[in-house]
This record gives sequence, structure tokens and C-alpha cells, in this order.
Amino acid sequence: MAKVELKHVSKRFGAVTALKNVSYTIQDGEFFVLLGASGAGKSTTISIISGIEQADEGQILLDGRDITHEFPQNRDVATAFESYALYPHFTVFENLMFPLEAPERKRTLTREQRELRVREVAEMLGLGDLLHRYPRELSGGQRQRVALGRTLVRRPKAYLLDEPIAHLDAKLRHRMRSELKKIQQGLGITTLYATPDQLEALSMADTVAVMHKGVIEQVGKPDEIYYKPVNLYVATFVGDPPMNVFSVDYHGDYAIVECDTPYRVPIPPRDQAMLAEKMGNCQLKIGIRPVDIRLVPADDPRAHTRGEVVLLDTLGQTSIVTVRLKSEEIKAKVSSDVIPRLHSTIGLEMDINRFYYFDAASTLTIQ
Amino acid sequence: MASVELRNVWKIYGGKVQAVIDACWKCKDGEFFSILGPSGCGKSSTLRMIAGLEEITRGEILFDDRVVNNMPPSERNVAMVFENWALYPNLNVYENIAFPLRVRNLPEAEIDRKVKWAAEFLGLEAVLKTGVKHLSGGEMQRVSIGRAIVREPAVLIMDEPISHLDAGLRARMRDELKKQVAELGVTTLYITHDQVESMAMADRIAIMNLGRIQQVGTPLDIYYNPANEFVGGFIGEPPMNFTLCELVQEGEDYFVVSPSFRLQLDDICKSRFLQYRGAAKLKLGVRPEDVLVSLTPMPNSFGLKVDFVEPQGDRTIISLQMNGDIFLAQVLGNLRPAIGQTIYVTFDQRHMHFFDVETGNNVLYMS
Repeated sequence: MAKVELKHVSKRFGAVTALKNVSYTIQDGEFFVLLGASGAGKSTTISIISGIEQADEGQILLDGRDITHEFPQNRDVATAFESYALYPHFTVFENLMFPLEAPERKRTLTREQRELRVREVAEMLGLGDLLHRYPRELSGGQRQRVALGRTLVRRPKAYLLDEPIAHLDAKLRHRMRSELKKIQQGLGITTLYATPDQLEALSMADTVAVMHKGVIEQVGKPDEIYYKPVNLYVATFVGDPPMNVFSVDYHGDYAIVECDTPYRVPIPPRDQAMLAEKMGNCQLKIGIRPVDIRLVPADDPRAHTRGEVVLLDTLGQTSIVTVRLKSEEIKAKVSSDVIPRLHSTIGLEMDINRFYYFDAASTLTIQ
Repeated sequence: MASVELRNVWKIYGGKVQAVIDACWKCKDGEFFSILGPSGCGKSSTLRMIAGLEEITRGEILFDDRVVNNMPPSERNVAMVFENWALYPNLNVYENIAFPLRVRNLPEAEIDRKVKWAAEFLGLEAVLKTGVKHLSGGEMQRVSIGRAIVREPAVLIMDEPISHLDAGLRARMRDELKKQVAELGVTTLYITHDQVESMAMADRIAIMNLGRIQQVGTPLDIYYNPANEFVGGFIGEPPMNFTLCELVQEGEDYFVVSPSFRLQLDDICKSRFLQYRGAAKLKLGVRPEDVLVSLTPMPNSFGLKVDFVEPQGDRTIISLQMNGDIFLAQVLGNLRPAIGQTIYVTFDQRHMHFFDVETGNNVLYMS
């Protein structure tokens, strides 16, 4: 069993708290994604689990064993860094082979087995034709794949992958996502994968931990963090474009959205009951995802509000329409068949059954 | 403000490497024109020829219908925004923006007026005296743009200005850039490998591969009417599915046949083939959103096995086993079939594309 457990881990760099009381468990064989913006603490977490950095407080357990103070080489984890760190004087083949030449591994694998492993990993990553090249003869994307390959040739208790495909172009990144997931499922090795890309997290993860300024905001399955975010940060970080959020004045069966041109939205009866029970005295914020907003003619009675179309992003089958109401902007994600003209006035109809409710002061979701 | 035209432009390095082959396109005055393609497609060589940083091997480049081949860069009035912004690290924001004007020996009063105009336009007035080392990523990018627009150039060239940013910041910067450029009304050439950026921002896109222009058109043109297999597969996320098939006629009816399916063409799709006299063996291209799935049989549907399921928030990507390969279906909402389960599939016939197996050209392309 290669479970990874973090228990109350904290880390400071001078005055900066990089990790604050971080605790979670990665199950054996799980693909666990650490999701967060730059500076959230993902790389610090990986450095601490791999042993490059020491935690100030807390414990790291691998397979039930406390490795908090173990040297990196005794931890049996393999790390892929975002910066490639390839040996410039070795070919791709030799770079991939290097980890397998370490004394303890030379003993467990024959030369033929090592070569086969290198060739298999090279094929998986599309490097089969580049084995004789040197890093200086490779593109950035190819170098990054070699760095990842150097990690995957090993069979440790856990892989720690720090944004391993960040520098690949969009198409290649998409392909590598599903390849990586399949490789990991095939090998069954516990994997911690750090990324700032929420779409990557949703499509690859068994479990996601959303991090923000050194703190874990939520740990859950992809569906949970999308449909049941615990607070405003998670709600607006997961989902693209981000959820629209409004401050409102709540009046039971309706709410008035506070802005330069206030407007009224009805609240579904089921939500009224929930809010009556759980809201207490707090100020309310309402969130709605762009995909749950429909565009209607400005004078349509179904429109909750109206405004000027200031941006149109046609992404193919769907488009993102940004509508300005005096000083606020609302984004709607609609089919490209129905996009309005730039600078026209359009009405917005919100699917009120898809509202999210937040306590404005604590930012917690009311659900 | 100027139009930019390439007439049969070639770039050949060292007499051998054909980086740009017979490129022809015209970007209108004030247009937001994107040059899109994977690494090595020739977009950087193209932009360097337009800026005057590279010799034009063959053909002509025209600004406002005037040939500029022999005009030195300094006279072309082209301003560039680079991928890594290239700000002068020891100068503050004011001096960075002022630099191009100082180099041209403009009077101090005029420099001051223009720098303040650019700073106000980009919301940088508060940080004018701040050293650029202390700015956030978003602010640095705005300074980079300020330095480019302060000269009121005829053409603004942006070379992958946001590709290295976090997904979230990238989306926000995209919006900002688009608004700024629209307000300035300056002719803008935007070079990128990221098709989402091009699709969201450009009025028209020139898509390149291996030195050649593949297609020029609006985002929706290129999306719904790709000229060839490369364009079809490059634009759109997740990417278009391809499989070999055969067009078969039985009496009045047309069928598209492959080992995994036999699909009868509806009247509209059939009519597209009425004038067709080419090969029967073709490559079918269908976008994931046009692969329609159901847990129960539908009219004209066929059974396929589920290989993988990727939840992505408001949509789900289902990988299906098709002809020994994988087909992706994109479903809105959360359909969660089991891996190995057979589900029922058909294609939206309005959006099926047929490519020549040898040349990759769209055999039904309407130019």
C-alpha cells in the first residue's frame, strides 16, 4: 500500500508562510491533483514530500512510515520538476537510463530490462525517434517530455509531478493528459500532480485538493468541487469562464442584485427553505455560472437585466459574451448560433435553479 | 494605421530551409489578425519579415499598398510586444514607456504627454514611478504594451504575449488585450500557437503549417468549414476525430461505411455529394460535440464501447473505441457510462467533414 499522508504540515520561508497546517491523504494508486494558482504552495508541497525541503511542523507518512526526516534518496518517490534539469552531455536515451543505473536499481533489473523500460517510456511519450539527440537539439516541449520520462522509468511508491506538461503546446498538452492518465492507471502508482489549470484537474483527477495561499480550501472529487464548492474561492476558481458573483439584498422569495442599476431575481422555493434554515443573519452573495445564463432580446419579459455587449469570444461551437451593466460585467457562455452583435443591448435570463449562495462575510457556501 | 499584405512571400534560410512558402494574405487596416500554427510553422519568420528583422527571400510585403521590402525596420513604424515582455529592468514604468520616444529625440514635453496618455489608457498612472521589477505579471504586460503603443505605430505585432501565463491570468489578460486593441483601433498582428486565443480574439485568422498558409478566414468560418485535415484537427478543443471510411451508394441511398459503423446519409448531407466525382475512400472528420450519444438506441445509431470518461464541470468527454482507434464525444451535462459499456452513437450530419486520403483536402470545401 503506497498511501501518502500529510498531517498538519506547515512551512515558512522567512516571513512568508508557504504552507499552513496542511492535512490530507492520498490513497494507494490514486491520481491526486493539487490545484492552485502560482504561489499557492504546490511546488513547496512537492519539495517537502520529496525531501528537498524540510517541513517546519507536521508529518509526512508514506505507506504508513514516517518519512518526515528521511533523506530524499531513502524515500522511494520520483519527482518530475517543471524546469527540466536534463544532463546536457547525455543523449535522450542516456538521460532516461540514468535513474536506472543507480546502484540499488542496477541490482534489480538486468541491462536488457532497463533498456526495454527506457524504450517503452520513450514510446509512450512520443520520444521514440529522438533517443540519440542531445537536449540542446530538442524543442522545449520535447525536453519537458524527456524530464517526465526520466521520472516514469522508475517504479517508486509515489510519483510527484510538478506541472510536468506546462510547457507543451495546447494540442500536445491535451494528448499528454489522457496518455499520462492511462499510463498511471496502467502502472497503478500513487501520483500527486500539481497544476494551476482547473480543466486539467477536472479531467485527470480521482481527487482534487484546491490550494490557495498555503491553505487547502477543499478536497473532493472533480464533481464535488465543481457542483459543491465549499466557498467563494473554490466556486470562482473552478469553471471557465469563472462564475459570476453578485452581492444581493435578500427578501425571501426574491433578491435585489446590488449594483448601479439594481434588478430583481426570484429565488426558487426549495432554495428559500434552505436559506431560511441555514442563512442566519448574514449578507448574501449569489453566484451563477456563465453556462447557466441565456441571452434574450432586451425587451423580453423573461430578462432579469440587460446591458451592452462589450466582448465576443467565439471559441467554436460556444462563445463567451461579456455584457456590461454600467460598472459591472457579466459573462454568458452560449451557442455560437445565437451570438448578438457587438455593442448591441441584450437581455440576460438566469437559470435561477442553478444559483449558488454564499455568506458574504465568511465566503462559505450556504448549501 | 495600415493594412498589411503578403504577396507570394518566401523565406528560405541558408538556401535550403524553406521556413515560409508562397504566403499570400491581406490584413485590413484596423483588423485584429492572428497568425496561428504549431512550433516550426513559419509564423515567427513571417513576423520577422514584416517587422524588417529578416530579409524577404522572394515576394513582396506591403503596408497600405506600398512595398516595404527595402525599408529598414526603424522606418516601418511597427511596434512589437514580445512573449517575455522584455522590459528594461533597471528603469521605472515611465522610462520604459518613454524609451522609444527618447531614442527618436522627441522633445521632452511631447514625450511626457505621450507617456501619460499611454499610462492612462492602460491604467498605469499609479505605478509610473515604480521600478518594473516590483510589478505584478499583469502590470508588466501592460507596460510592455504601453511601450509599443506610445509611438502610435501603424502596425502592432504581438508575439505570443500571454502564452506563459497561468490559465486563469491568461484568460483575464486576453479580455484586457482585446478591449485595449479594440479601443486603439490599431492594425494588430497576433502570433500564437494557442488556437483558443486566436479564436477568441481575432477578426480573422491565417493558420500555418510547415511554412504554408493552410487557410485564412474568420474564426467561425475556419471552425465550421475547414479547408483541410490539418485545419480541422488544429482548431477546436477537444480536437476533431478522424477515421477512414468509404462512401457507398445503393440505389438512391448513400452510406458512409467503416468497420465500426454504417451510417445512412440524410437528404441534406446526400445533396452535398451530388456533384462529387472523387474517390470513394475518404477520411471522415467529426468534432466531439457532433458525436451524439445515448444510453439507448437512437435512429441511425450504432453501438460503440466506452474507453474512458472525463468529467469537465459542465460537460463530459467520453472516449469511444472506434475502428481500432479512439473517438471523443463531448456531452453537455454529466452522462457517466461505465468503462466497457456499449452506448449508442450517431453523428450530426450537418457537421461531418470528408478529407481526401492523400492530400488531406476537404473534398466538399466551399471557398
